[in-house]
Amino acid sequence: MTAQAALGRRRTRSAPVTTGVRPSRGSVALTTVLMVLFLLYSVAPVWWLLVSSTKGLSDLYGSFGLWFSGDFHLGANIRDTLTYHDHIYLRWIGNSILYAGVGAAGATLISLAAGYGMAKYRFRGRAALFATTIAASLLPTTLVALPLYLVFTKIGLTGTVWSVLIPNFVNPYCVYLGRVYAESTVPDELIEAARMDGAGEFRIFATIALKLMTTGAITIFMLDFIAIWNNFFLPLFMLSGEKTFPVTLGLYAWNQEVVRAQNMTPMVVTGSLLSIVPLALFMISLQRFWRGGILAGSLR
Amino acid sequence: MRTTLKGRAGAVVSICALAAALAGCGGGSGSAKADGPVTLTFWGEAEGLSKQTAAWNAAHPDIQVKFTKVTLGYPDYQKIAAAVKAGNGPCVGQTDAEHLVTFASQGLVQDITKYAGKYQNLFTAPAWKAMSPGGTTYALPLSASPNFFAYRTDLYKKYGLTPPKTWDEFIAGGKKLRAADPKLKMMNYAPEDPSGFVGLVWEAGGNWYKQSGNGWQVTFTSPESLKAANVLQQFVDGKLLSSVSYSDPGVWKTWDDGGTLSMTTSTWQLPIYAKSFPKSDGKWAITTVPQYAAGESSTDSGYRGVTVYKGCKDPQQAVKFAAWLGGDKAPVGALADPNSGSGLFPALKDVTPYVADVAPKKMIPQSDAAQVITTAAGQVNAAWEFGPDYATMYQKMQTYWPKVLSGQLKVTDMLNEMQRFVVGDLKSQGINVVAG
Amino acid sequence: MAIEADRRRPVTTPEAARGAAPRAPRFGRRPGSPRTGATKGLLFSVPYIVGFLAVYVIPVGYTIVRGLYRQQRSGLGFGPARSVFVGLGNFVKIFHDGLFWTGLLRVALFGAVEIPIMLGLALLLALLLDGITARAVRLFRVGYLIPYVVPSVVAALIWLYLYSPEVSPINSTARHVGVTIDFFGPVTTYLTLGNVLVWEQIGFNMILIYSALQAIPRELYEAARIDGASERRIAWSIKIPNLRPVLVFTGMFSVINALQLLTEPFVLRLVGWKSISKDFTPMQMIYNAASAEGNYEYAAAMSTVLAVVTGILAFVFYRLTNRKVTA
Repeated sequence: MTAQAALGRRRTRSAPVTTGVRPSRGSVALTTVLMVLFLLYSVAPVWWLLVSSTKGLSDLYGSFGLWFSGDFHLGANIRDTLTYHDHIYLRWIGNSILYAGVGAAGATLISLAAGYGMAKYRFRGRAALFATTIAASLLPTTLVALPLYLVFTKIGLTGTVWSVLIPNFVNPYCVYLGRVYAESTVPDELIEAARMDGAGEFRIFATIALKLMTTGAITIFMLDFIAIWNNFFLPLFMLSGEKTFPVTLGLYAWNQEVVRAQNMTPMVVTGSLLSIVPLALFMISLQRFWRGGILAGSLR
Repeated sequence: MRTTLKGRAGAVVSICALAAALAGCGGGSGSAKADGPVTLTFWGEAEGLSKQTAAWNAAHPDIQVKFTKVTLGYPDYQKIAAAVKAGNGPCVGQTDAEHLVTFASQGLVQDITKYAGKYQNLFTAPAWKAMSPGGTTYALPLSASPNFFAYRTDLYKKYGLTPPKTWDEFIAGGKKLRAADPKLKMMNYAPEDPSGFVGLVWEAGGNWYKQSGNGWQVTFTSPESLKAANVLQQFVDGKLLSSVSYSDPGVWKTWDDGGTLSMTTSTWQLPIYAKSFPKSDGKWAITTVPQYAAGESSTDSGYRGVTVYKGCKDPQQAVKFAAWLGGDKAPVGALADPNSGSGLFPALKDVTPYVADVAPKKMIPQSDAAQVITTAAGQVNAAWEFGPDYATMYQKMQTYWPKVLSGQLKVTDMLNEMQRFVVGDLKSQGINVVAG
Repeated sequence: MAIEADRRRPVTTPEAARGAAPRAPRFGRRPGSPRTGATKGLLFSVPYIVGFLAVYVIPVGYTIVRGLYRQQRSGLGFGPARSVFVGLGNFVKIFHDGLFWTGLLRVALFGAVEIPIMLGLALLLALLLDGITARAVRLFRVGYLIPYVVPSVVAALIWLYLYSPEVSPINSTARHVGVTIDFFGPVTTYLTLGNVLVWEQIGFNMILIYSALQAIPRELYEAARIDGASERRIAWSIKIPNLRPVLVFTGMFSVINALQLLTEPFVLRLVGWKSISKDFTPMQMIYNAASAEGNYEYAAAMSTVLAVVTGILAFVFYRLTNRKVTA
């Protein structure tokens, strides 16, 4: 059987196959049903949260959970949430933005520098450093919280903003990503050319490499921002004054207060909903980078 | 691109400045100037403390107090302990008696006996005792929470019950109630909270830690403790208890919907009920807790104090502030008011000026409510003491508690286990244990 | 400039690469790699190395050492305690601590069931998403990612209300048909907990798998189609084998995190005391020992043991999943 013949046979068979690329109506229906079901599953609890935020205390328990009741309390609930205890909720949101924003910004810069250094230079201990980074990136943050707490207690940092900020500056996984991005986006030739022009190593990094790694930087920043925003255990260990709480810990504290006053419940619910909003906005505004960064492959 | 990068850098810088400003919230234990104004840091939880501190500051320019609101659960006390150990804890802090013992056992509080002694006569004896574990005073009493009995007048009438004078009557009433409707319960013991049982033992005159010379006699199986165990076992076997967690967002419905008809409770909870019982408002009455035998008069009480921590450089001024907060007419009156303060019932010997409004009228319309509470405050059993490993003990008991409530574990078995555990725990820490 | 560079170089999906990297970090694969300024290369890593020492190495080392001590008091037990070196004393105590090992076994078995289900569903969703047209993808992708932006505490709080024995809206609906679901029965507890975890984790894992799928060259499918392979067959013999690195990675991450399970039982326990004990997971025990009892030495020793067990399990998992590749 010659190649030609094989090709011919393939061609003749290819016709039904190409139409087969469009899946049958049945399987399309099945796929759609499955995907819609999963969509409902993903959205339903948040939908419950949204609906519940519009309810007063009695309707919260008295009416059907997944639909609005006649009484629309959203405005009052939001007002209560934001003004309770001298606007402590706004302070918590501010703290979260501070912890996540400054923490992620610091981690991004440190990671890009370290990743770039590891990708573009050969120095003694580089392999060991990289291997350690990989291993450490698998260390769960929950497990490191106690050790950090023990050391920070020793040096008197617990209870301060720094006890939450400092650990967030170092993220081995981000360093790993930094190395990947440095390797894939900064061409060696460009570095060489810049050196020929007499640019110093640091200037090359600051003016050329960083610019090339923008997409990676934003991806690292975004991932770390979300991770810090969602972190609960480290602040739970470290912080005691409620003015330093991030919103996750604040909501947990409020939920504890439900024990003492049932009329906190609508505030816990509304506060939970509001705590998702900044993160959702942040993610949507960076959607381009979800594709460009995380989903880099789809850009081919 | 360049401008946006610059903008971002600007934002980062300003956030960093904010971080530096925020770090000021951290702590610091007060200044060490010989004379001139001193600043005390004060960590507390109760509503109204912030306002009272402000009032103090206005009247005392030489002793300024900086108040930080904290939450006070188990983890929070440990965080305070850690902060004190690290040298950035508060100077004074609101503390429950059982946690004061933990602090004392970790050496985190100051002996203030010489400054505090002159205030001793203001406060009740059990309150003072609660602030002085092992005989050394570390704190001044802030409030008491004497236990009393609250019940639904409408439902007691409906089911032909009378408020029980003794636990036997309580159990008989519960059986009658069950005969009417097996879903109805006499009382709620939360599955995470053995404090109801602690109260029963305390009322019986029991005490799990008896100080004996330079050591502790551990007595989980004393006759008094077993008397309480017997009553609790009858609650469980008779299915008289509901068991809803206080952390459940729907916990208040248990009483408000009428599934559970009564409770042993205390002053600090009253403002909460006032907010959480929309349906049963005005259908409540209170009386003294049921007794082990007719004619007895005994109850238990929690105590809160203002503790002076190790590292506080101005203990004398701190004691002055603490004595004012828990003993002076204006702050005590304001904090006792369940509407504006926390319903902190004074730990003072003479409470008459403060109790008029201590029971929310809307919830409890009866005219002698204040008298009931005052009587309870005067009947607190003096035998009870908190031992040095109370926190660990309580943690351990919490693991057995749900099993006891569900009937899987006999109360006496739990007490035997606790006896063994506490003796072992004290010994392993090097603390003297006297056989008991 | 940045975009130009992106276009020229096929960007590896970081996640796909991340999955592959532990196996074969490709050092110096570029022959033209700049070798000058070696110390400067190290200099770029200095902030990271300093931070790493401060935030990882020192605390972990201190924790291991702290686990070798015990607090000793005397007399009535009031006043400062002394730290006493007890060698492996705490570790011996852990070895005999039934609650710790029960908790560890619980999270391990629970993970062994929950992770395959969660990853299986994430894989299925990713394959479905990969097969549909571009416009709809976006809607579904955003929808599936919603749980990812919900902080785990908030997620646990939401489910706490949905599961509350007193006020669950699920039960208030179910009661209309005469059913009351006990979410915290001996078996249902695990379904309850599993559901919360699956809900939280599925979206992000799906996106990782999906992006790895998108990175597979489409020509492979075309060739297979020409050979007459069905879509299902393509998924099974081309897509899934190509996903192995990302599946190993997400699996390994899930295994490690499953052993540290904390937030969800910690919060759900507020309504589920009946079955979720305070010693339900090892991490809860560590938290209790440290924050309720102040027994930092025992907490430190338990952390050390948990880390070692986690390391061993992760290694075993990695070996098992990787052997298949070479076989």
